[in-house]
Amino acid sequence: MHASHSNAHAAPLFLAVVVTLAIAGFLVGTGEPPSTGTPLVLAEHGGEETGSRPVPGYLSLRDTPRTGGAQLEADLLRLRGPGRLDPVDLSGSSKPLDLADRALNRAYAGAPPTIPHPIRQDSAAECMACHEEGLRLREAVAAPVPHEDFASCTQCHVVQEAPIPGALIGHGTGHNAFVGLESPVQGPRAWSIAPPVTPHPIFMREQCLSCHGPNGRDALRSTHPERESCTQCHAIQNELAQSPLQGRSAL
Amino acid sequence: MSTDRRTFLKLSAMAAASAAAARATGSQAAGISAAGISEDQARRTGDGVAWNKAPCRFCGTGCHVQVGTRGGKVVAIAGDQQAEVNKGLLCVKGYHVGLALYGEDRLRTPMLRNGGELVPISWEEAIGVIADRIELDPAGFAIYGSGQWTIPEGYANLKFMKGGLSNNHIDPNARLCMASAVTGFLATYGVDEPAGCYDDLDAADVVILWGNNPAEMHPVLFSRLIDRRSRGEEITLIDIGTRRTRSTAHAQHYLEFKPHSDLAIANGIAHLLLKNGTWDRDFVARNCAFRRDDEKGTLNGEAMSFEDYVAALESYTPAEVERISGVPAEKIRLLADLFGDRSLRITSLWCMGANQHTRGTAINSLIHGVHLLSGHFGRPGDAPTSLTGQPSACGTVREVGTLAHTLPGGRVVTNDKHRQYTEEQWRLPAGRINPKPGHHTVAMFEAWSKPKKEGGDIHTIWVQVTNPGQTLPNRNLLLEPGVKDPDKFLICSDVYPTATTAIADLVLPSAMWVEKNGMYGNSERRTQQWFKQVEPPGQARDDVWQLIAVARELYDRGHAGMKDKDGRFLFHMADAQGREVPVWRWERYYDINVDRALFEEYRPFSRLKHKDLAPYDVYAQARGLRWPVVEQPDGTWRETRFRFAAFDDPYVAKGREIEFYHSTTDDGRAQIWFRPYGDPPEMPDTDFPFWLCTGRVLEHWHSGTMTRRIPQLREAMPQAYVEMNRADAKRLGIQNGEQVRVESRRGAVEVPVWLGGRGEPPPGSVFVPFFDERTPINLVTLHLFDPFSKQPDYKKCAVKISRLPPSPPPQRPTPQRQGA
Amino acid sequence: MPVLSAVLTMSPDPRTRAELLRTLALDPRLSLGDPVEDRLPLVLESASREEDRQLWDQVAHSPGVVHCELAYADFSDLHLHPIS
Repeated sequence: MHASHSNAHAAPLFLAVVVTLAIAGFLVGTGEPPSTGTPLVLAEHGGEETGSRPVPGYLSLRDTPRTGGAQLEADLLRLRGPGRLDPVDLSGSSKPLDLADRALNRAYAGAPPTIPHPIRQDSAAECMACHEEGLRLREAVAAPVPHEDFASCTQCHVVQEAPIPGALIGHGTGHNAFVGLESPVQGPRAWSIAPPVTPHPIFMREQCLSCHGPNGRDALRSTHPERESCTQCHAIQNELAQSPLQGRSAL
Repeated sequence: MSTDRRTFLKLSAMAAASAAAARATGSQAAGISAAGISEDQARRTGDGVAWNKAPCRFCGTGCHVQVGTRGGKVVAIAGDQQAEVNKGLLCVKGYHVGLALYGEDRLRTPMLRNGGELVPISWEEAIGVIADRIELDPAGFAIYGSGQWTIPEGYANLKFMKGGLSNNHIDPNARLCMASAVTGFLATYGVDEPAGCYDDLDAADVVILWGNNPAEMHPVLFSRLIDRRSRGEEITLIDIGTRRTRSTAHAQHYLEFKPHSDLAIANGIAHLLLKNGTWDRDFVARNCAFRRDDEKGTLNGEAMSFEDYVAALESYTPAEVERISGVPAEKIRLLADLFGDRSLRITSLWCMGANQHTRGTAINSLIHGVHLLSGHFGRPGDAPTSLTGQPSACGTVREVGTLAHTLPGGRVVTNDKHRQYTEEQWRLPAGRINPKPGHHTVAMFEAWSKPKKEGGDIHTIWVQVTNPGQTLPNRNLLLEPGVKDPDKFLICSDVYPTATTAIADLVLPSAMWVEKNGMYGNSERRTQQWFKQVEPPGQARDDVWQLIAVARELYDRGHAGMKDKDGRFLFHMADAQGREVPVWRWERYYDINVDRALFEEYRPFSRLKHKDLAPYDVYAQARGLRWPVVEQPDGTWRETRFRFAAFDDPYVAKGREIEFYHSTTDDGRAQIWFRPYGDPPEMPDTDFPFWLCTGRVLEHWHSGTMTRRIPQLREAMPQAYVEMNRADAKRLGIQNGEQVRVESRRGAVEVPVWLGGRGEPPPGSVFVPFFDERTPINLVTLHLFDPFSKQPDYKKCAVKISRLPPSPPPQRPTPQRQGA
Repeated sequence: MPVLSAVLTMSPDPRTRAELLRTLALDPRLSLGDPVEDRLPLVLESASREEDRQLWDQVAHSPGVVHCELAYADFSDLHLHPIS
């Protein structure tokens, strides 16, 4: 890598790793006493690709001059990809890809997503370790749950890949021709610069920042995640995927 | 740094801090209440999707879903926010129920077996074949139906068989599912179905699971319960089970008992209530009597004195119960102390663990008995609540009465008055209905699998909405001989190829779920209705139409039974102007709402047992209503949540707090039964050293014919397995994932071992789910059944586990040299 | 230029709390969010690492602050312009 490129590209990447580490430090507890003078714990050279490293606390990061070593450079390179602090893409050009990516683990718009990683099969106790606050670990994002706390996570969310060892005989049933409702692309606006109306129901998706927050997919991220009262400006269009209580006539 | 970027950083920082500050209290930073949404929302939304209600197709919980359709197809599903059962939430099966319609191998045309192959035929031919089989010998024709029959389907079949053919050989798969719950209710209260409802789950302080795993089997009820903890409420959850499950993970107490010894545990609780003086004297004095089995083995048994009851329980000391059940004595005391505390609200839940039991009636009545003896009954949260596994086991099988011995509305064929009333309602000549009960499920298939000359008096069975090829126990005994006998004929109406269509002689393609009108009745007495929303594929047609078409064919051939006493067609239906509509012609079938006509005809039957049903049109405008649904002076219809309790049930006599107004002793009392523990008919021994338990898993419903065609469910749970304890696996040298043979005296299957998976059985015990037709575990299970309910025991039999001989190493294909 | 955010747990005493909020609001380097019960989200902005350290300590030790927890940190400018 040319040195001249290094700085220009490294900034957001470095940012990502620092934020990640800082937040990881926050998650594991920030109550550690000040330890001034502690050197940065990132290794200068070498280090196992898969080995774990001690997580630096905020104070050690704050008090230590940051000079990237070779390992850090390598880490940064691996961390390429959309960063949570990259500017929000308002052009809409990445939206089709982002929505398609999001649809991969949903049967239709509004379906509970399937789980892209192994889980404990006998208990849902561990899900909230990552999904309560949500976190971003390198490329992987654990979205915070967008709905109120339900304790039986596996009631609605199942793994994408069977956990049964020795599953030899295959699935045995064929194709399913179901075509699911596609994800809405854009809520309508009352006039050109009016805030768009939400294009999807918000039941079970009350925590808007789960998808539209800083860790959301590029094209879904809000430019103003700090404004917490989303529905103050964004009216709900199809509040319900629901029929009225009064059904149609019986005959 | 640009101002924009800096502003953005600050905004992100503020968002993170605000979220952290808000979440510490559990407040919803951007929470939006679902309340306040008007009911006048247009059904058709901006994206062209039309939404309408339907109960979920799968289990007995009875969640309502919203079905989104566009262009004649289901495209989305949402939880129904106006449904009291599920309040907008579903389980993974419910969210994917719409996909059940679209497996590519849906049956699309009638097929007749010819030279071993199923060959497409026309509907006219198919209907003719069925009529031929009936005419061959109407008394040897049987219908095997289901707790997935809609209410009108079950009613039409019952009328066709008992009213049309004077033949009582009609029984449902619910016989394998909740028959013992029925006999437990009848023996205790004199009338079937739970007194409480799901509202009890919102009010209970203590919930006891008796051999029950609702986290996987009734997920929405389970989360309705445990999500109360997220709101800061305290619930004590006690799991009395034979293996650790996902439900155990949420329980404070896990009481692991030896299979079958639940009877001893219930008796141990009653023993301590009496010993400690903590039973509810007032409640028992006013509302209960004591009962035990009589020598003739009748369901109602004989009365016993309180002193005899106390004496009978004398031996069930905590120490003795520990010896029988393996549950530590102090845990038995814990249960007795909870039941002994009237300030607590206690709800018991059970399903197949107590029902699929050779002493199923006994354990059902004992659970009721513990609640009655302790007075934990009749207040919100205080209820013994039996859950069902099928969407309309209650609504169709138990209320309509599609069993070999029943008539609609809790009537029985052996009762002269009941037959007479039914004949009048059906406008039949007197004496049309046969007073002798027909074959129950196991007997029906035994009679079909036995040659005619040996007394096998059933020649043809028409199977509807179920899959006995996979779900009957001991298939080698109950099915295989009939399959090979050329005199025997099997008809199967279904939506996909199944283990039953594979052996059927005639296969009929059916419409399913929202491809037809329907009504279901769930576990809490809630009657639900839905409309047809999409067309069935190919030539698939409604099950009710299939039946009416056969009836009409017989009518046209002059079969006297298909005429009422005035010579009208048995299924005479008319439009609003009173003109007969030929609903037996498919193109005219939807000229009127046949479901509505059948339901209105059935409705008067519901009054005898005070299970009053409202008019069809009332259900069309509700998310289900719990019977008795009683008309009010202002013309509205009021449902009943708590039966037999004066504060809610209008049929309780004035001045009584509780009244069991269908008491078997006609004195308003419920029966507290004594039922002794006895060993099960088959137990592990040196040859077959393991207990086998079978059951369901979250992803699959019943025999998996629908859920195994839904990719999300199939990928998560692609095949059956055997769960065993690590210690047993280690002792036998079995690796996780290794293929093993699970074998009983009746049959064997080969499945991989899954250690530390969904559940964990104790040493000496294994579990195999039954959803996978490629590993039919019911080749292995026991066909012995409860003497009262005739329900077989799928939860315990003795098996051995053997390693398979090592297979030859896979042949590595020889690399083909390119362009040689 | 470091941008941090934190959640302050404030003293339950109303008078101390009011004084704390008044003091914090006067500092242009701080942006205060909406308090949730006794917790206050805020953003700390500073021009340098030294100032960041000083500001953090000042906030964390302000009268009326029971506890101070980091929620977010950004040091991107520091990397581009290392302090010598």
